[in-house]
Amino acid sequence: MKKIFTTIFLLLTSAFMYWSCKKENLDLLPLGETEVSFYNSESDFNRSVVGIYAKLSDFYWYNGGSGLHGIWHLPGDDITMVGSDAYEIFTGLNATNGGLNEYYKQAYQLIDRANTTMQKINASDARIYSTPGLKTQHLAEAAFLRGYMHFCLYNFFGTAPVRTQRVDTPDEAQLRLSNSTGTQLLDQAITDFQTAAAGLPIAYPATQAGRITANTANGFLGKALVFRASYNQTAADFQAAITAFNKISGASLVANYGDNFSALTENNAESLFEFQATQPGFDNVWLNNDFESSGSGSTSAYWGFYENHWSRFGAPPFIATDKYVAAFEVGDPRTQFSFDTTGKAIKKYVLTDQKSQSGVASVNNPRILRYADVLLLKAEAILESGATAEAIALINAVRTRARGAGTVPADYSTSEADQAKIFAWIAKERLAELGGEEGHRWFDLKRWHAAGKINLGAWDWSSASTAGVQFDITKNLLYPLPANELDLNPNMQQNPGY
Amino acid sequence: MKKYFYPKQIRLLLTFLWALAALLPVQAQAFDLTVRGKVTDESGEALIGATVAVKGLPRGITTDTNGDFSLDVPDGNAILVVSYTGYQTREVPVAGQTTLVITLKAGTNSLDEVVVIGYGERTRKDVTGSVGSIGSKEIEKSIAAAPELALQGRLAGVLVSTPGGSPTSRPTVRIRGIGTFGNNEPLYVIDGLPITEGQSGNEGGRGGDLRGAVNLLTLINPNDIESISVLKDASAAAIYGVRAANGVILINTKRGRTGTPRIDLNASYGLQNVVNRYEMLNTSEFASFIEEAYANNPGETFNPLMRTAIDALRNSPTYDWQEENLNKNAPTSDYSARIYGGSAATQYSVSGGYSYIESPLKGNNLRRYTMATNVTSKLSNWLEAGVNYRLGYVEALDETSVGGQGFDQQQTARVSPWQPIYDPNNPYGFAPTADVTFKDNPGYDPSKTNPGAPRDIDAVNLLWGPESSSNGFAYREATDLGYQIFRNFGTAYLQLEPIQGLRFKGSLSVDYSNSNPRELAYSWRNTYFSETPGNPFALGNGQSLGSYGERNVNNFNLVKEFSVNYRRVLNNHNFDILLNAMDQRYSWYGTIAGNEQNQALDQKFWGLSSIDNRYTSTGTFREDNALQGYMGRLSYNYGGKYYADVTVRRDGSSKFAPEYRFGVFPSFSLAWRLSGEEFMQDVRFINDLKLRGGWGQLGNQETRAYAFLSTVSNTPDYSFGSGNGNGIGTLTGGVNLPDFPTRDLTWEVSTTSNFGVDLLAADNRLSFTAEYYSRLTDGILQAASLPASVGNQNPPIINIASVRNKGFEFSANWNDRLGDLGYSIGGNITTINNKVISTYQDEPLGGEGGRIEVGQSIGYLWGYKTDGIFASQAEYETWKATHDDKLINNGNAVGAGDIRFLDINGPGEGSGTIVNTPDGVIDPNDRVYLGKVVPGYYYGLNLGTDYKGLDLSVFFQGVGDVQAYNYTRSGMESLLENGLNMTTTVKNRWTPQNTNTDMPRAVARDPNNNLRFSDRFVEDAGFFRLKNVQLGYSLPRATLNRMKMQRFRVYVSATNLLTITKWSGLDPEEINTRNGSIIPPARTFLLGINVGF
Repeated sequence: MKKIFTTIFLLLTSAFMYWSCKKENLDLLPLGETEVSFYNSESDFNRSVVGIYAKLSDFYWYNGGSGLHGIWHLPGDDITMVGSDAYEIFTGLNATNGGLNEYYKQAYQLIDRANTTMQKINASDARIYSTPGLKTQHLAEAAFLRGYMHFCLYNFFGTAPVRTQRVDTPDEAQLRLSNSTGTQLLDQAITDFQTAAAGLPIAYPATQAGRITANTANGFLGKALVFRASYNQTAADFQAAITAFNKISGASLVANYGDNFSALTENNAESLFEFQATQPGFDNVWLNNDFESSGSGSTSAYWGFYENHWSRFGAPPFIATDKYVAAFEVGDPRTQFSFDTTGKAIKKYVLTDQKSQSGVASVNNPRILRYADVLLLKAEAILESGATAEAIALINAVRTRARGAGTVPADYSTSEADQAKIFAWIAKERLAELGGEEGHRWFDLKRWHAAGKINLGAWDWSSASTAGVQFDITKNLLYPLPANELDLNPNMQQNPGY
Repeated sequence: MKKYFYPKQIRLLLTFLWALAALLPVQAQAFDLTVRGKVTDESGEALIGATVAVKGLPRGITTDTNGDFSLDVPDGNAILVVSYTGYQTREVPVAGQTTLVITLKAGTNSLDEVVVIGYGERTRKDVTGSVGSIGSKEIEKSIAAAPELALQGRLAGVLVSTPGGSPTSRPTVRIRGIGTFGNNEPLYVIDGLPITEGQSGNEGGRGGDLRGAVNLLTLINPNDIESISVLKDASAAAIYGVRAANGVILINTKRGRTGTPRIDLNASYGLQNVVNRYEMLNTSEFASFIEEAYANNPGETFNPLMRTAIDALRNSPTYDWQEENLNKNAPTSDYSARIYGGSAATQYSVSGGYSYIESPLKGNNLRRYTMATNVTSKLSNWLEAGVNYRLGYVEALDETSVGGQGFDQQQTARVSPWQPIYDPNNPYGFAPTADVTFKDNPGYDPSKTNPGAPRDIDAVNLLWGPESSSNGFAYREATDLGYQIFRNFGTAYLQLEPIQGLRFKGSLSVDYSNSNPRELAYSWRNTYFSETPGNPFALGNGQSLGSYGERNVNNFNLVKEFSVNYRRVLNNHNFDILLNAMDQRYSWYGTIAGNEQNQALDQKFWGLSSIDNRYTSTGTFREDNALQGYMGRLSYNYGGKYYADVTVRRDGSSKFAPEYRFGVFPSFSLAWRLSGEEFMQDVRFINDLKLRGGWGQLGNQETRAYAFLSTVSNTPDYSFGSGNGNGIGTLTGGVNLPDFPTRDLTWEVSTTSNFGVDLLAADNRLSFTAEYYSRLTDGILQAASLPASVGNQNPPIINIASVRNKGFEFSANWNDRLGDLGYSIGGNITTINNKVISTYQDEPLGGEGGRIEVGQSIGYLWGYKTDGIFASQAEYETWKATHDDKLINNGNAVGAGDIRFLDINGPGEGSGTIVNTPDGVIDPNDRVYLGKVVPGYYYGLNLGTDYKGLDLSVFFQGVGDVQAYNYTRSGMESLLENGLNMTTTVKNRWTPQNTNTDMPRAVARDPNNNLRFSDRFVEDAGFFRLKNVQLGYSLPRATLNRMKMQRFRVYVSATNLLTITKWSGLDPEEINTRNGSIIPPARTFLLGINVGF
């Protein structure tokens, strides 16, 4: 009897074991889609491209009080602040600077998203893309954004590495790139802008406004060529820039200069590239854009440094320098949109603003590239070829829009033949037109110094800082590469002087 | 790939073995003699439920309600083994008699103590691995809600840190050092069930947030715990394979036992207080301090908000937020009852408990209800079944952090001293932080999907300077951050013993807990009382009074186990074979939901229902895991002299890719009981002496699930389509690949060697154990830091690094009695030598607060060295002529009173290399070792004495050879104007009049970067603590017998009475608290009573 029980028990338990210990029990579904299962529809790729754009918010958001804006606004001579911010007075700038580390990191993360998107599109099944031109457009958008980041890295860090491949295996050579040399970063930007320009439409339906167009790409292509021409003194690049600028079609200067900084007139005819500031379900300015789909995070842009918002907690605002103020002729209508002449508070972006629900940040888009910038760059390129009248006409186009129905600023005489004088007009016009925007001034000063047109070694920075600017020409033309990069990458050399 | 056994083959093998076992002839055992007898204690009182067994045979019986027994033995030479909890086990030769009266002596002989070793138990003298254990007597002395704290200081090799005074927080438990970079939490096994918790090891970030603030182990009532065993080395822990690398903690709860029903009642009530306070500057000192800081940096413009605040408030009273936040005489109370008993066939235990504990800081408490029952029943002599069920319910409040930031002793101490707390004129009764005005929003359009807010903030005026602090007291009034946690825990088993010694056991266990935290917040708290005022009109279309959020977090754990155990004694050969198969599935999942449109005045009516679903949000999260394990253990001993244990476990984990999923973890241990040898019989002084050693491998699978896959993140969003009056556009979901997939990812393997000696001497009065251990953790899952230029968002996780922990453990105990006076002295000490052996590319990782570098202790402190203070401007100028400090913030304003940092290293030949030669430049190359955070040693010391009914125990605990960076002090002595208050230590700052000091000058914006991570704030974090003193009185047995009671004891207890330390903060263990909140361990005085019937 006992034996029968035993046998039955053994059979039952064997069955139980077999059932309970199937090896397949370990094959659980992952928690979401994986790289292997994703990327098999046009929509998947579109979302991948959107993911690249989204990274732009990391440069413009409030970042819980640690925004990166000082990196591009403060070093030039258009915007200043009292106090001793390292970007303003240069001393104290070093490889452990948190903002620079963050900027650098985010730039390469954007590049990685672009590289990954391109890798996936290029490897995709030919049957996935059925909409004509969409594959080329997606590749072009990715290429543009990668190029844009290389352009910025060149202007800030100069020798950061060129990254054109996604790193997804521990391949030493790819993990630890060396410094770029010369204008390699710019070269890469130019290549990417060329790819983008060839693959993008001129415009999108209104619902897609804000995507990169062929005009954006050509604008940046020309801009990067002018920059390379300044650094290398190559006439061919100036010529190529003019060709690129000429491919821009349908863009125009908007009648009202102030529309360039208003939350109500974003993505207008003058605008070639903007960061599309917005608000999610709730704009939480303490959490970045990469939030859970149902959660909150920041997709907005911060302008509190101009309006002296309480969220600065008493830290001094960014204000106009005397130099910037002086760049305007008395009565220039642009003044009222640019700053408040008494306190020198910057008015751009904050005059007609729209705050996100946070009450701290704004949905007002930073304009990254405007047609006015393109016209003045084109004037500079044309001037190099000696076509002075044509160059002056372009400056006058900007001035015509600026004065509106008024008389100031008046047109320059197109008969002026002194190239140095015309260059000075362009430089002054760029300061007046573009001051306080996107670090244009800092980039311009650096390239003009490289081209020998000005000498930053003995420069008046027009700073309001009582701490005193200590600009060291042997090192401060480039920002220090982040310590974190150097610690982990023995193939990298720090920029001179740091 | 290595060729392993496959599950199919193992199944076949097991089936074969059972069949074989079933067919084994039962050795005909003749039982010719019946022995009857009685078991009593020394006073002649019958012991009910004492176990009487025949030596060498696996089964015994228990005495009945009169203490009587009747047992068949093979012959007159048999030896009876008589044991009873709390009494010394005796071996009694039958010697031909048929009636015996056996008297047991009270008190346990440590050798006979039964130790739970995982999948079984053993007497202490037969243990070959490294297993520490404590019983309910010690557990009783801990007054904490968390069972882990009972282990504090009690066992060699186990370091339990006090998590501060909050009753909800989790202690950190580290067994024999820190073996990995990630999760160092040991595996907890409660009554045989390996428990799991989603986000275990995670305190901060989103994971920690979702895990919640309440320690899930508090759902187990310490009063229900019979013993806690800690498996420290591989040979002991190998039976838990892939999860055991950080050690295993076995918690065993109280069972029923044969005898008349008994009732145990325990009650205690105590008061808790925080002892120390930060001494802060008063208002006028604070105001002049700030003015001095600005005066010392002429390049810095006075912060206008600060200027206004000083001018208006410099004559204000000083408000002490710290004192106001204390919950003085916080009560702690605990009540529990247990009824247990049983017949020879069926034993049961039923218990219930209630505790209520308040934190010594306001806004934090824990209320716990627990119930437990277990029943085991022998249905026949070959069939046994049992069930164990446990239920815990906790209601907790955790407002130690409000509005997203800590509101602890540190935060409250740092509030600008002129900021008031209360304001009778304010409608809410509290002094607001900001004055906020509103204006209409012209863009408001309720017809849009995104209507915007009807009103926008017009202006914000921070009332108390740039560091106006959120008024946490007002926040608490307007918010409710509560938890309801329910834990259900049960095991049912069936055991067959078809032939003597062969047992088949199948069990099914479920552990399910549900945590339901909620957060209710009136929006006015976030507007007027916040240092970052939000717009209340942005909430719920401007129609809402506040927000309501709720989470539902579930932990589910299902374990199916089947085991075969065969025990046999053949002459002097003792075999014990165990085969086990386990299948475990566990998941962590939940929902998060919120509603920002609540219109009821009474918060009770707030919920997730709203009239407009635009203002509700939901989300889910989930993590699934599965494990399979096959384990075999062979234990053999020859005549109690030579021991061998061999364990092999094969585990598979769903966390890894299929081809890297399974691994084999072998271990063995050997022991030699010298005292069993003939030649030792003459050494009278030694009662028992055992040498033992073991080797084995263990795994640690605790890493991100699916790290071998690259998951698609759909978090990034971007908006297109703005323009023509629409500034917002339409948000579009994007994706990215944040991970760096590592297909060949597998678990970490730690290889442990252990050698020990156990000695019992001087008539069992002295027990001593010494052990040496060495644990090498290999293939540590390291989140490899890659250069930023790679562009990866999450670092790849790679099996790459290795860390070694080695050291000694000693424990000794002396127990003696001089007439009526009994006394004992015991102690234990553990040393740890922790060293990182390799890392990814042998490159150091981690920053200044926790550097991981080959050859150094894990997570060491790394930074600059200070070299005094520049006594004069001239001294600085001279120094500056030869030194270039690259870390200064503003070269124009450095000078006398600033700190001189040491130039130690310079760049080497190759790029990125450094040499130990000063180069005249102070730069990141000059960062050096400043201290280690893994303690070099820790110890516990017990003194006990009893006299007649009185008993007194004193328990000390300590940690040494450890440093910590005092972040709190670095904030409170930052000496730059930032608006937060400073400790009075800054009064000794450098000034031209006070030059003989090591406290630098006050200077706005810190031009010299005096605050850089340096040895200035590295302190000795060692301590010696009088942890607990307890004085009790028990009624004598005669009185008890008269009163028909088993036990009556009253006691008073004091905890954290005295701490000797060099640490300058409130408490050397303050750094262990959650999210860095400072809630120091409380000093507690407690009155309690234990009654048994």
